[in-house]
Amino acid sequence: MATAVELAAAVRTGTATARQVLEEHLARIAVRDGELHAFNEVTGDAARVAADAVDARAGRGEDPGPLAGVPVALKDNLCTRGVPTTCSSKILAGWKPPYDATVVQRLAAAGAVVIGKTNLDEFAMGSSTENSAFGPTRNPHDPSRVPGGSSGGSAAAVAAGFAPLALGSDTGGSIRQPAALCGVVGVKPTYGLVSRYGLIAFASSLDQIGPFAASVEDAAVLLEVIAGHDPLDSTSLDRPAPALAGQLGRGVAGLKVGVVTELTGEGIEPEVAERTRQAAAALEAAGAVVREVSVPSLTYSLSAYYLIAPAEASSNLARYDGVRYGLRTTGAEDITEMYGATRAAGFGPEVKRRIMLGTYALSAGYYDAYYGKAQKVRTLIVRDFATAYEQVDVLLSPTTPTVAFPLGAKTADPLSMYLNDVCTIGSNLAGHPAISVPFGTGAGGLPVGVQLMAPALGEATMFRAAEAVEAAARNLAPVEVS
Amino acid sequence: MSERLSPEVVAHVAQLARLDLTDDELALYTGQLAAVLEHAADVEALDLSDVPPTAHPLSLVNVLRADVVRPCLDREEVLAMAPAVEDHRFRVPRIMSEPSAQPSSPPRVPTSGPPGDQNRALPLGTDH
Repeated sequence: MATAVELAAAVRTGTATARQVLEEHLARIAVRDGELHAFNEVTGDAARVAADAVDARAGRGEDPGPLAGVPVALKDNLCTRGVPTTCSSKILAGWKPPYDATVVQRLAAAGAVVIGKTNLDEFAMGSSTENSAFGPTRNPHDPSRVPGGSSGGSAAAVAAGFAPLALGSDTGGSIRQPAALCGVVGVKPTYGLVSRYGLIAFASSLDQIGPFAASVEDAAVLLEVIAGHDPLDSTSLDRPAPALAGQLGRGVAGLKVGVVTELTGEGIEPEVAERTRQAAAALEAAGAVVREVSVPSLTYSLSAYYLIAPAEASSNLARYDGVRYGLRTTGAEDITEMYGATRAAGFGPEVKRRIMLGTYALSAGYYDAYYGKAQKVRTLIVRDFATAYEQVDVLLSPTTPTVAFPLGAKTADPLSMYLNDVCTIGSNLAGHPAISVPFGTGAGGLPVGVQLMAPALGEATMFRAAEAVEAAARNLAPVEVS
Repeated sequence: MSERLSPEVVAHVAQLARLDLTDDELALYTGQLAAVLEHAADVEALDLSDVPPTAHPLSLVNVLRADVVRPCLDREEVLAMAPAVEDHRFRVPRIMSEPSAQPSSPPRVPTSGPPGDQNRALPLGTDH
């Protein structure tokens, strides 16, 4: 299948039209999305109008942009003006945003064609896309298994060839974990690199929008398009976005790579651990200097995350009160009764659980013991990463502890589901970039992803290492674990 | 199991969160929240008295802009998505409780609307 870079080049040079490219992808969706349910909504008509506009620009001799005619799937927590944006929640069913997210505007300016809105765990809370009010998404490699989450619809859409590119959001691993489980590339950029304007908030100090793609180069091109300062997001970094795609192809000779001690031992499936060792060996063979590095406080990152993220979520989700948009239950005697009944009817079980956990962690008497402590652990993690990056340029670990698991396997025990995020949440707590790159298969022939992490704004170096891992993955034999 | 997490505490938290829970949900969440907090006991046990907290990955500063009128959201487009609207404002159920009939009750706080007005409008904002 053609990459996004190849498709855009074909549309720009006139060897293909955006409309042809779009129709091919819509045809694949028509064949298989009934089974996979990657999309909450396919916006075929609007996409045809956008594709025809790209073709018209190319026909007039104008440059339609770096993503000319490339279909892009959007996680359904990114606001699209006049197009339903649900967060896969009943509380927002039917709501049409009155504005576009900044990333949506930037995609349009780059000539990309939005093909639809993808399924997610409700309000991006989950690691399997089973917490959607509209039903789960299935893994294209094995439809009896989950695609990961929360951006499972976006990961599945790229893996199934429904779109060459997709956007997701990553609060604790919600791009990288499904990318790993679906065998595609997923990137969580440096906090502040991509505007969050129009991303419906989950945990504001952790959320970041990022790309899904079938190749490292495609991911780099998409990140270049969406990155950069935005005055509408007060946490957007006011500095030029780094050049990424042009930095590829330089190899990894002399690059210092640290394998994270705390993320390679207990709790990691043997096949996944073996693939991570092979990725380290491949980087070494390509000229990198590989050593083991300890980031001790990562041991506490899961606990800290599951206090901080729900605390921020409980505050962010206070806005769903039945007053200004979305669901309102009828029959309430007064406004307080309406709030409680509307929120009870509109939120699903995982969202309620996190609102409860976050409200508890922030409530009088428990704040210091839980939320306050978690914020201090966050400081330890930032310090330990800083120490690690004095020794190495990038860090390597598995992306997830296991390959894709069967639907329903972890829904009864929230804590077992939360453990999926153990390798990914450190980067969110520190605000650092990280990427998951497919690296062969593990148990059951299912995809394995390895993660490369870098210090803030270290994307260019991170992509170089990712490119080397991607190249080595082309020559992998099936994994054997004794 | 965290000793602090009784069903009564969970019910109080649900009330703080404006979230009506059924008895079954109350029982389920009491157990599940206890399990998560038990996992967080490793954090609770750390001595971090000398460590400053990190609330955010960036050193946040106030971001200001010139106080000039610029395009904003279309008012009708916004109101079209509201569950109930009246006079270009969001309409909500009654905000104040009915006064108690007992003579010993404290004086009723004056309200702007007539008694029985169950859906007083909440101002959206100030007109230019």
